[in-house]
Amino acid sequence: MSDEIRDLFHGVRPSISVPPRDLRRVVGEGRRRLRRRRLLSSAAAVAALAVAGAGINEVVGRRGLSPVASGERLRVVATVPLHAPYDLTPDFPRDLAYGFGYVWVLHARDGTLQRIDPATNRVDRVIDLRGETRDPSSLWDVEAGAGRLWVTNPSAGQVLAVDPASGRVDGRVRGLSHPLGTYFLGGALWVIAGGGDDDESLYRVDPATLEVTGSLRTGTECCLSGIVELDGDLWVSYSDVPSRPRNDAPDVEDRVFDLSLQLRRIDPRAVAFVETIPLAGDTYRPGDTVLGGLTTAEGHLWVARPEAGAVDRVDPVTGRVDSIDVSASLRPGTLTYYGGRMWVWDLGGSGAAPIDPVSLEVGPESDLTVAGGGHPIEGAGALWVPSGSDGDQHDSISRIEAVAPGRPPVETPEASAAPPETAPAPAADPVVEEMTEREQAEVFAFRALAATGLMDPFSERSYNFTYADDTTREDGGWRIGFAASDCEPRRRGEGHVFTCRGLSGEDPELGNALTDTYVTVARDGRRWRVVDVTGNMLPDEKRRLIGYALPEHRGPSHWEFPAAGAWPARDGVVIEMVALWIGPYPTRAPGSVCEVHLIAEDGVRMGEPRRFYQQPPDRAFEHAGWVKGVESLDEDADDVVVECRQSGD
Amino acid sequence: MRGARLTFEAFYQSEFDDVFRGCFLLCGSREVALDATQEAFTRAYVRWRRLRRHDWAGGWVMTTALNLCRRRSRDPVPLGEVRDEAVPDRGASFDRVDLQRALGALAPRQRHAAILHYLGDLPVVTVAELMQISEGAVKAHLSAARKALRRALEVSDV
Repeated sequence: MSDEIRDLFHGVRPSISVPPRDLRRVVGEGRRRLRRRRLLSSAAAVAALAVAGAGINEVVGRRGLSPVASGERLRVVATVPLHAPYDLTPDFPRDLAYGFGYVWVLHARDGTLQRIDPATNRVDRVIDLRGETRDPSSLWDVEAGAGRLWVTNPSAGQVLAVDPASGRVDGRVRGLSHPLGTYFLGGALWVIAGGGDDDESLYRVDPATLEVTGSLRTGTECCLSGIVELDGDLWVSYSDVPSRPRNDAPDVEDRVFDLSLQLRRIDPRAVAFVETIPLAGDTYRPGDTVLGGLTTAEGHLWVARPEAGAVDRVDPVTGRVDSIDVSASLRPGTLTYYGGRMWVWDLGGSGAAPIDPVSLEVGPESDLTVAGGGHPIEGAGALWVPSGSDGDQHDSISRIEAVAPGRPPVETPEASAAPPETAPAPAADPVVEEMTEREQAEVFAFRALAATGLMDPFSERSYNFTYADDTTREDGGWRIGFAASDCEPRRRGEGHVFTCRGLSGEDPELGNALTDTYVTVARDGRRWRVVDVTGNMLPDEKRRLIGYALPEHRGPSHWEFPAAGAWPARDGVVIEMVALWIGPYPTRAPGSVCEVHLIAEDGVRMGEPRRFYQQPPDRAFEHAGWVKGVESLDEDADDVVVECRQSGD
Repeated sequence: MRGARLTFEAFYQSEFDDVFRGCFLLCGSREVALDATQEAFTRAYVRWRRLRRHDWAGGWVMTTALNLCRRRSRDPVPLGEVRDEAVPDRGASFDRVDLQRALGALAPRQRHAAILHYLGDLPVVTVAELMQISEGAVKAHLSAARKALRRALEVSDV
């Protein structure tokens, strides 16, 4: 008889017409909320960290959010002289890349790749590529990915594959017409070739076979000036200059063209344009730089328009464009998302100014004249950019880091040979005990995993690294074993299925009991550095981790909470936060407490917070853990904020 | 990430109709039903990273939408006063109006359970999980709903 009731319900279905669906609105609004949630929780974690104690500014990275107008700056903390083995001075670093724990500098004049160790800020290796081309200065671009360095050789129509370990060229991508820029995105190598008066094309290359597996002709006298990956798609900044100028000035330099600027989405499988988002039009005079950097942050595309003095933040879902006027302080060129800020670099080399990625507020410019106006890259927690020298020549690389207002700069080898590490006094129950080297290594490994975002529950893929008491001393340092759980596939259906080995047959809800990830760390003087990682991470995650460095910890013991978040569950909200105990064991340390605040739609906190306690470590070792709790979610709650602190603070 | 986005899109496309119809049956207003449906899917998008693992994701959206619908319906639909808005339905079905009127006579939990079970085709155990009540309570709600619907609609042998 219940079937008849069911039939009754199903029978009325056709009589209820369904209105048009609006997936775009759902996704757009959903993304907006996700960004807001990230911001709220990040800010809360920072507030708690500020109470918790020492070493915070090195660890929190992008979480150090405060109003940009408060004076956050970039500062050159070290200058790395380049090697000039062939007496061709000054050298000319044409391009930089970060990979395998090192900064790689491609020289234009002597045809070398020079490797900088971020732990020492010194060139420790030079790879000679002069034998690969008659004109070493023609080597154009370097990129790191898939275990190799990729160097474009436009005159030979090749991309060289260089083994970073041996320094040998062990493969070549051939048949490309004047390859220039290389980008390693989504597991493939993408090469922009041609340009100028020639047809410009984008090639997709399989890094394993070195075969070209797709191409896209983009046009003539245009086109691509940047390429990034966002949500599995590729986006390019695209400019198109009409062949006829607006005026008929006899001198080419005086002619003015109408310029069409766009962002275009590329389906990486089909290698085809599938969507266009127009940007504000502009005028173009020969010699103008029409489009600056293109990058991504907080789910948006960001592109600079130098001649307009503007930076555009573009929502890829809705197509909404927010233009930020930065013309008062600089002419925008490269964009770098670093430390939770979008840094806009002046094309003239005067410096960079931060933009808050959410409020779009522009902060004061940092004077980086000494660093020049090249294209900075990020690696090992710092920015690296060719230094300015006489004229347009460069002979060194500047290491640049963010300095928050009121905070001392992070220690670097060059900035100070052996500065005393200063740490703020803990608010309660300080525990100052020397850690053994093994403990230092284990704590540093956890901090590195957290600081590089791998334990961030808000990231698309996150891990719960559980201490496995599997630490061994090796020649290269300390090898620390972890049981990693909660791995997720990042892509499906594209031949890029990721599985977490070691989790097979285990309950994903209960986690993994097997050690399947090893992080090898080594101490160089007073700095710890990640030198190797084995396990089930994606290559770019390993790249992010290897090379990460911090001074050894000498301050009071304390809790750190580098990541926190809240997720829906069937019966409420799961609260997840990473709690790191920075100190020796066993300990008389306090515990930690995390409070969950429910936020109403109008932003007001609802009722009393719910508290979750983490006991102090009382076993042989428990430097880190994920605090989890389940809380019923009030239907009226629009958001959740998690705040953590040390008990008694 | 691309795959995840496609999966949410497929989820949205496959579940949208039933969620909207469920809301409309509950509250009788197309405007409120659409608003609640879109909002429920927006919340699902925010939670998609975790929701996508579960086979009850569709039920979660339906439950969320029904809750929203109930709360946003400023003027609850009492028995005998179902508003048959000027909607572009393919013929104003007496069945549908009758069903709405009958549902309007049910207690909120009974109505909720009936829509999840009969329209959403969710098993009792899933309805219990989604409504955070026991299976026995769901069965009781469904039984009461059946009786009320039988009376109201004069469905024989219900």
